Amino acid sequence: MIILLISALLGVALLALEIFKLRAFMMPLMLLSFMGILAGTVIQWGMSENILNQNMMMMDAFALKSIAILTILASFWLVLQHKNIQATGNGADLYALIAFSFCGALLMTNFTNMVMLFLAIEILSIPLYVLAASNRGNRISNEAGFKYFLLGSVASAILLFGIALIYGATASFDLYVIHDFIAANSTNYLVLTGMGMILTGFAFKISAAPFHFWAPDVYQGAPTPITGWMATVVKGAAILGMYRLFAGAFESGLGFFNGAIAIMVMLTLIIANGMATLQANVKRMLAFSGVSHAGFLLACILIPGFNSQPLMFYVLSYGIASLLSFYVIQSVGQQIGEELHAFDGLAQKSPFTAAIMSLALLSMAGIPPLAGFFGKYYVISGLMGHYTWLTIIMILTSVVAMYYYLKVIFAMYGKNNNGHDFADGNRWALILGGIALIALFALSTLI
Amino acid sequence: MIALAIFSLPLMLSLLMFNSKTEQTPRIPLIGLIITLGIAITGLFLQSKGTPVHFDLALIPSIGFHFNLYLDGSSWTMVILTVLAGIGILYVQSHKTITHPNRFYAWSLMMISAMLGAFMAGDALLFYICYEWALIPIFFLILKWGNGEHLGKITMRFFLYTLLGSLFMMLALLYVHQSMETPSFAMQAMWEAGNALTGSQQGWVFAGLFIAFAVKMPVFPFHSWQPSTYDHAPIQGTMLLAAIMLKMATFGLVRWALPMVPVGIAEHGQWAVVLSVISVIYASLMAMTQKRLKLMIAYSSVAHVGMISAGLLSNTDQGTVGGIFEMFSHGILAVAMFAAYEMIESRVGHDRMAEMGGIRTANPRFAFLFFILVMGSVALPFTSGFVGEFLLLQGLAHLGFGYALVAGLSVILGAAYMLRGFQKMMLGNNTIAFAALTNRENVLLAFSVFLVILLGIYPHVILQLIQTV
Repeated sequence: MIILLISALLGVALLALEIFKLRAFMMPLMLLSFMGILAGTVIQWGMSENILNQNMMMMDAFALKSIAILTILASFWLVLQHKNIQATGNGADLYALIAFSFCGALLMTNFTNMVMLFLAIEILSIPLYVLAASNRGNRISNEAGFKYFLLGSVASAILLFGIALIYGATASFDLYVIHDFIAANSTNYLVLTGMGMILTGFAFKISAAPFHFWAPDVYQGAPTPITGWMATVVKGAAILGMYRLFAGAFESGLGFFNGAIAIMVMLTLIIANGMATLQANVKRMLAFSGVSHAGFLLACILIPGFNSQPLMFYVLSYGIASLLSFYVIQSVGQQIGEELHAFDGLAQKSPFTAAIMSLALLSMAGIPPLAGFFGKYYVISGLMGHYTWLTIIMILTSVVAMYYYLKVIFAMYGKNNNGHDFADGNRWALILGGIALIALFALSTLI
Repeated sequence: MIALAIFSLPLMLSLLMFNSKTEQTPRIPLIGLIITLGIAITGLFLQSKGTPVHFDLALIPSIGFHFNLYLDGSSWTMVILTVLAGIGILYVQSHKTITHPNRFYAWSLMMISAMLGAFMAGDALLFYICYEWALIPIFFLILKWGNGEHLGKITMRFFLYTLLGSLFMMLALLYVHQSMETPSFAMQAMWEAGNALTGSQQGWVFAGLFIAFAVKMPVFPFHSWQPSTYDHAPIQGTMLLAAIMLKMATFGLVRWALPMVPVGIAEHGQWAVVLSVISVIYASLMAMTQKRLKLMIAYSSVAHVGMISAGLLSNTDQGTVGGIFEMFSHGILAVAMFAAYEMIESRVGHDRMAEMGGIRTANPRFAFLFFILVMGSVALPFTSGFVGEFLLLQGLAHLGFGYALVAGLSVILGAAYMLRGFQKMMLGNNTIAFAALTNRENVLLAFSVFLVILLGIYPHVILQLIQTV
């Protein structure tokens, strides 16, 4: 409970700091809160298992692990991006909104009631609509915010409709009651329709095809630090919540949707990777790559049994690599540009940044022994033998992904300096991320 | 522990050189590799006395992934080849000045370390990781130090093509892995699990593995990346590719495919033998049509590797031993041949064979040494090439006499293109300026020629090494 209290109060406290003109304390306070939450997950580990809070939420092993992973990603995001956030001039608003959406992200991982789920999704999303449009002077950023808001509301509405249908069939919001009801009547059409609508809503939130059309525009239009946040913490929280719901409560009805989910995974991988190869703007390319990783994340739901380890490791490994790459795009974009040719000869100007970017891209492409490889390994080995055809598609599309990641690496190393100056930013945070990508696999058993 | 030292010494040195501020000559990496060779020979000696040199560290116990370095006769042979060839590669005198030598040597050492890891891996996932990781250093070596117009396209095609192949290996290994009750990537466990599969399942696993290896070797029709990559890579990169890297694929056949899915190979693996034999003939014919020396050597390398692959797939003792012997011999010959190419190219200014001639009159010693290398390459008796090819053909004949007959044609074709090339370049009455060899070039050529003859006359050295356990 203390974990959720910290995260809920954090946003308010940040706003209070702004009122008292103590802006310098915002970043330390956030970091301290994140550390407190991490410590909280360690302390609560194994202690409060199966303790319900008014039948609304439960801090079980899944929730604690998910919270730890999301908090690690959030802290890393903060350490990387705090200078960029402060540089925008309205750091206070941004920090507070980030803190609120982080609170929603944590709620996504421990609900045991459909109402909590809906609250969590809204708490997670509403700050993001504002954040996406937070670069007020920029029309593209405004467009991103507006697009995200409109489509996100529709998705939330569909999700709510699904919840209502399930309530209609089971007369309860409680996941345990719903679980038992579905186990007894797995062909109830109301429940199945409801599940389908919830699946649609979630597919929108994690940007799985064919509900991904908003993602590239929003990711590209939003300020890059915010894009980093959306592509990692938010997407991670959404897929973890989806996993909790589908592999947990909806387990018995899942068989009906397995084929549909598998096709969604396939479409996501093919469309997103195919589109990414066509992009000349690196940020947009990474946005599509983020969509393609949603395919891998979604595929984790197909892994038989409640085995969340592949999903969690994927969220963590992809998250770190993605945060690093968005950070580099932010610095290159600010100093040179976001187009592919802005990266030309980066290795000559800053071998360090180029090396970190290459490491992040190679990890996302799944080159061993980097973290991303083990992330893909766990997903593919979980699916092997059950969805072998899907693993082959995963492998073929990873080669496509390697192609567009290589384009960036090639620009950095193989092209001549384009004459612009470039200064590295946050060296230590980047080194930390690089080490994490190399050493993360050792932690994969802990998760 | 010794195994760990062999693996990590080049790696550590590579990381140090990345961070070194002063620009280095090849002396330091060379000394590092010579020490590695010393450690390897000490280790071999210790192992023959019964001291274990293996190294085992559980990295991810839940999936049975161990950092397990295991050395038997075939591994030792490949380790010694890698280090020897590595020394030759760093020692070779390139007429192009290497910009940023630190990074160049660092990438080379990292690649050597990855390949050593693949040869010593006693764990399937570790093998896969090293196999794949070796791509990164060579990618940067070709991209940064290669020559030619379309380097981007060439490196990209090379990288993606070989990556695509090896991903199929991962699928195959995972398929075997998930069939186990207690998951483990250990060699023995993988072999047993593979053998427990049905014939057709084994056939599919073999198909996955062979596609990965076929791209790397390369075997027809997966070879299209190879000529342009060899051509545009810096000479050291070409040597790394031809002398060592493709051996990871043939070694993968010996270590992983043959013991793991023998039934699959015997019942459903004929297509691979056929492809290998086609590859031998196709590459020999292609070599005949080449006008440039580098491409001719590149295609002759494809022909030799096809032969190794076909012989290994016979899954007989002769085939396996001959295959490993030929890998060693081909590794030495590849370094020497490409070094000789570099000597010619740096003196003549191009490598179009028809426009040369008369090198023998200008420099008889070089012509003589080159002739022995050519003989080794066409597998003349008393050269190392002969022993390997003989054993391979013998193994292949067990599988089907027809295969041996067709593959044996490559010896004749090889003699045809190699001798014709020799004649065009070395003989004739042209007067051509050909400066005397430098010390480094002399040492490198003479030592390779010495090895080629030594292994031809007394193959026992390596044959015994292969059969030690």
